[in-house]
Amino acid sequence: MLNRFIRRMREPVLDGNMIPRPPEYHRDLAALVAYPYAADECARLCEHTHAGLEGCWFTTADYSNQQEEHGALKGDIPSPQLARLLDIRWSGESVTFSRAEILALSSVISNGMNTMRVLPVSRGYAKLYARKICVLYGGFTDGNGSMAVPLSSLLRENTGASTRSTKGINLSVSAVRHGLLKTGSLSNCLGLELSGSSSVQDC
Amino acid sequence: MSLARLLAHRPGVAVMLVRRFSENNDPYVVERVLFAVAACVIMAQPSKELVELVDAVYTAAFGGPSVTPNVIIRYYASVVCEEGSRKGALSTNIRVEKFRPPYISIWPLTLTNSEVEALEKDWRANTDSMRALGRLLASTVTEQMGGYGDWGRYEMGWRVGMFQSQRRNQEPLQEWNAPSFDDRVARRYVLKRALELGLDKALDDAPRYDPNVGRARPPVERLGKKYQWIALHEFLGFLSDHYHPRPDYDGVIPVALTPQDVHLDLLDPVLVRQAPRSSCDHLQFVSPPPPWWINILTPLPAPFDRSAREEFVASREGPNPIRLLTPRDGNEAWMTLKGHWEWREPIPCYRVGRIIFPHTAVYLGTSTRMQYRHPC
Repeated sequence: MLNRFIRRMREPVLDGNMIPRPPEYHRDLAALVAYPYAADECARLCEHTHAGLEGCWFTTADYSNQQEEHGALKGDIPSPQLARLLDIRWSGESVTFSRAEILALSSVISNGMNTMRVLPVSRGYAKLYARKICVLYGGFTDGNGSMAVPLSSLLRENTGASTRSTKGINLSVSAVRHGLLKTGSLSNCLGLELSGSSSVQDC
Repeated sequence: MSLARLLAHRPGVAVMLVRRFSENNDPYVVERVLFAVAACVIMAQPSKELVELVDAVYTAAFGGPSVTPNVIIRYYASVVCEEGSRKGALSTNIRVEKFRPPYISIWPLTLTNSEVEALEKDWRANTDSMRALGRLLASTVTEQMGGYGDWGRYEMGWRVGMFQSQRRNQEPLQEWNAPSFDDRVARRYVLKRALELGLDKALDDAPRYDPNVGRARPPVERLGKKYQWIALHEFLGFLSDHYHPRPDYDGVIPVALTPQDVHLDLLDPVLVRQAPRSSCDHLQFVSPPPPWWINILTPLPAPFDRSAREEFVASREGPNPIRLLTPRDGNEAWMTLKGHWEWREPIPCYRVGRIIFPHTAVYLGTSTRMQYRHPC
């Protein structure tokens, strides 16, 4: 009885901004080295969706390396389930994730610790695959929030320190190529559910 | 940190350090060496030396029949191996499952109650000449003993309390209020290990007073406290291998507790990398072009003229969020995984302006298993 009462009172948790809390993965950056293999707790949190859909999981998790000021890094990372599904791992830079074999290739090609890995990733992309299923998930942060975009977009737009606001609209978005879920065997074994919400408030 | 920077791009030197210090009898030294080596591996490019370095760490930390119990050493060693795996630098004799938990260790011996009583008797008989022993005994008193030493209760006790009293070969207790592991056992191990590590009972071992630190861990601790921490790091490893963690409020028991889960202070080997210094003399600050979705994911009706604005603002309904979920960049369709939008009416149509802030979160799952479950 007490457990049921606690569960009832705990959900949903809405913060002051009316946003339900996303699953969190707050660890030092070195923990991303082992991600998603050593992230069982995060995977469990990701299975607890706000919609209460059994068998579903969040596709993103909120990451922070728990540092302050210069060393701080925050952003959205793929949930452990999505990372396993797409076979993507941390690239070693920012909160960027990409395919494991592409990472290995980029490590060989890059010549120095400060080389942006996105460039070799692009080369590897052209070299290894005809289909566009290689580079899936990248990301960066700024002081206003976080967002993630494909690495190819980072290359094209060169937005290493961009501003993400306009006069009227501020937004952030994380995305993967829709085509991925249409190719290979994934579409055969997965159903896709989209969930959205909107809020209206007078001020 | 300095050692880590010295080792950057020198995996060959790091191999020698690992072989020289992995058997050192001060675990604090091993912790720091492995931290520096982890930073070295993270910065290194794939090479023969890197393979050799990963192999040396694996052999030292995970190669034996049982794994070193120190959770900090385990952590840095696992970072080395995981990074080696990520860079394709694992030699053929490395088994991935061995450097990932659960680990195997042999449950340790602790002091018996009578041995602890004998220590306390010794100290009472010679309080002036056994100050270090007195500080050790007082500092490690736990809550379950009915009192507390600051460290015993506020550092050791609650961390040990994150484990339950059921061994891993027994059925775990599922209730969130399941009894926690007996912290008096942890204390007996800490006492034994601190003396084994060489704490001289006759030392003064007075803490260095720092008015700016308060109750927090001071930058330079007394020697006995250092040994207490080492012993706790080891005991947490033993606990993790042999006992179930306690369930959370939902009755879910974590598979394993990482050093971060028990809130141990860890240095991040990734942060050793230094940001490149700019050598450019003629800086130009140009706003980069906005991301492609900035004009696509507008949740507003189009065209958004005066009458549309009035109708839109007067409506109690928000815009359909579905259109935000599948943006197109002109060529391809994308899927939004997570989004936050905020729109403030630039010029209020009426006396009260309007804010709209839709949020999206995308879930994925197999259609056969998917079913609605009300949270209550």
